[in-house]
Amino acid sequence: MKDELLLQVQKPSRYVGNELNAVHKDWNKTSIRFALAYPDTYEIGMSNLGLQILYYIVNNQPAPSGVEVPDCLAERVFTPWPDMEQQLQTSNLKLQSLESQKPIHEFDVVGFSLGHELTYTNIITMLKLGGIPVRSAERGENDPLILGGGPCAFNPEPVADFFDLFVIGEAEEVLIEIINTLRNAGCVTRNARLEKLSGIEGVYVPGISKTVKKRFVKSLDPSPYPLSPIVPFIEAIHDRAAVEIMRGCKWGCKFCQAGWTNRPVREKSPEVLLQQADELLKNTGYEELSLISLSSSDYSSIDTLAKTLAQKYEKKKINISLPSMRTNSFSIKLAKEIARVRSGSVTLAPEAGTQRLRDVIGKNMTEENIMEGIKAAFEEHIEAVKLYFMIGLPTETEADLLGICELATKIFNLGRSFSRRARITVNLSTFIPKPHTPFQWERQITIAETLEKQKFIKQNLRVKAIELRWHQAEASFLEGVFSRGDKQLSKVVEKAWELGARFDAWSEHFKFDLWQKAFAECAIDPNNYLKERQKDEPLPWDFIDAGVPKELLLNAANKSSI
Amino acid sequence: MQRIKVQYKKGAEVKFISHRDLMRAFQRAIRRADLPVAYSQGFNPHMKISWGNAIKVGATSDNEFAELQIDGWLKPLELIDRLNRHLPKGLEIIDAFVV
Ligand code: SF4
Repeated sequence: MKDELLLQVQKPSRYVGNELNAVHKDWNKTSIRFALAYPDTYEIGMSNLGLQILYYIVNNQPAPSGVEVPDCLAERVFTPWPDMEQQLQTSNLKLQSLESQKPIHEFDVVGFSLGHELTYTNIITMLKLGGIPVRSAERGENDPLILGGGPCAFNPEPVADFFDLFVIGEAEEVLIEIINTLRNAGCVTRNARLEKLSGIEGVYVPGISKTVKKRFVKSLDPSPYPLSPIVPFIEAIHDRAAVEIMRGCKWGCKFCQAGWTNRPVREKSPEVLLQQADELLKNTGYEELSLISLSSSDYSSIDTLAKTLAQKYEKKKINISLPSMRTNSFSIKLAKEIARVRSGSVTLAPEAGTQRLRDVIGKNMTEENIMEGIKAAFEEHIEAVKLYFMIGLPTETEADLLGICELATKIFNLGRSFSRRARITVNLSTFIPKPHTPFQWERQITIAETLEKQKFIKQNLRVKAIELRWHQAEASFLEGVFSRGDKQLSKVVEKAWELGARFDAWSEHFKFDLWQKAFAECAIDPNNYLKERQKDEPLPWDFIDAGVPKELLLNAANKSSI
Repeated sequence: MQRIKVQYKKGAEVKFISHRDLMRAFQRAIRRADLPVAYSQGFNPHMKISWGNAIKVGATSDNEFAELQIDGWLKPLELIDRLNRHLPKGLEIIDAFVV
């Protein structure tokens, strides 16, 4: 990319690559080329573990028999910030990959990671700037295959028209099967290739596949894991080495899509983890090692593992961090023992303000648990507590909202009895009935209701020293529409993009009026998507088998309608 | 205790990286090379390195300086060799001398 261009934009290092461990292959010696695209900024995309795993898998595919050099290549591309988008447009330049600086339309496959519904307009930006027709139906023989995967692919319909295929579930094994299929497909037509790819379990080709079953790796120990991940120059959101200790979560909270779609629970063995941690630290030089999973307290030998690592790397001054631990006296004690740099805050997600509602949503946490954990934190001189709650949960009444205020106040008072500097933050998000959860048939509250509930809590939270924050009501509304939506919505995404919607997950960029206009112009009432669904009504994501039979979700749902 | 001054190159590959980010990349290379750089005391110890002035983002130079405090003793040539094997492309130690 030209220097003059880079000097015009904020954070030019987002666009130059050349980081430690980035893989630079000879473009001309490879024949299966993947662009791994993340529809958000470099800093967000580079914090995504999935991206690093897939990059590693593709770039390390051995050469097929009869071929001398490995034939696969993966390079990265992120959404240019609006200033760069403008630069590219005015200079009539195409969006390029970081490594070879090739326009993305020259790749064979462009694979998008779909982590959040509010990144959908960024996909359009990348396709347009990449010189690739936005709709699958408009693409020709020379265009790459556009692939989608990640959490949002569990309901791909709202963006299905932009994609040629999706991978549902964990991509490690499927990706290799896709590569093998592409190797064998030779120079046959695009349609024939898609036809073949649709035969792979876990692959959904819109228009060809009837149903699709999610894929997952059986065991984490032998599963490929990047031990020389790319180390960004710019501080990524997660700027540290990470070992994945477990996948899945045993709790089954009824609102939690990650919990239901990432089943079964699988642990990586401590031996493998110790070895991976060692390699990772050696190859990256990171000063922090994070043990990650959805719920690390549930890892069988978390205590021994964390302590062994802390001891092993004490001399090297490497900090061991344990996000996603349940806050209780055990985790506080463990954190105290292992952490060199002590975090000044704890996070707790009771989700609902009363025991009744916590029982309804299947959040396995009593007030006693909560207070015990927080007390243990205060005793260790932790002064900041962040609490997370949802509003608009099924069966919620005013009493439950008042419960949020009471619980927060109780925690605040406890904190102040320890320290005058104790700080409590209450974070409110709007409940979104996500596909493939027992709550998928529930309704989502309207924007007006959200604003009203936020106001109600603000009024009843008498202690003004408690900081209250909330998700923008309009953003949650849109997230709900797109997570529950159907094929109709692709034209709204395109329309909103045309009207100027970009980086909708960033509050400074989010312009709800553009979306309202887009819905109106497409004659679609978004509110319909947030209504309650009948239990026997077909749902847009029914054709996806996420591993949990509908009867099981129904059973869990019935248990909650107290 | 020994202090080693290094002269390094900021090449084209990293010319758009900010000074702050380069400092971090340097420190990580020192960790990978396992060099005995001294650390400050306290809760959150950091490497004892003093950095020369930052040059403009977008510019290259082979005349950048930093001074490292070594915990123990290290031959400057060994430092150059070990560090150069671990620095990202575009960063290179050109010279090092005891001060
Ligand atoms: S909310 Fe947390 S504990 Fe509950 S199912 Fe999801 S990941 Fe597990």
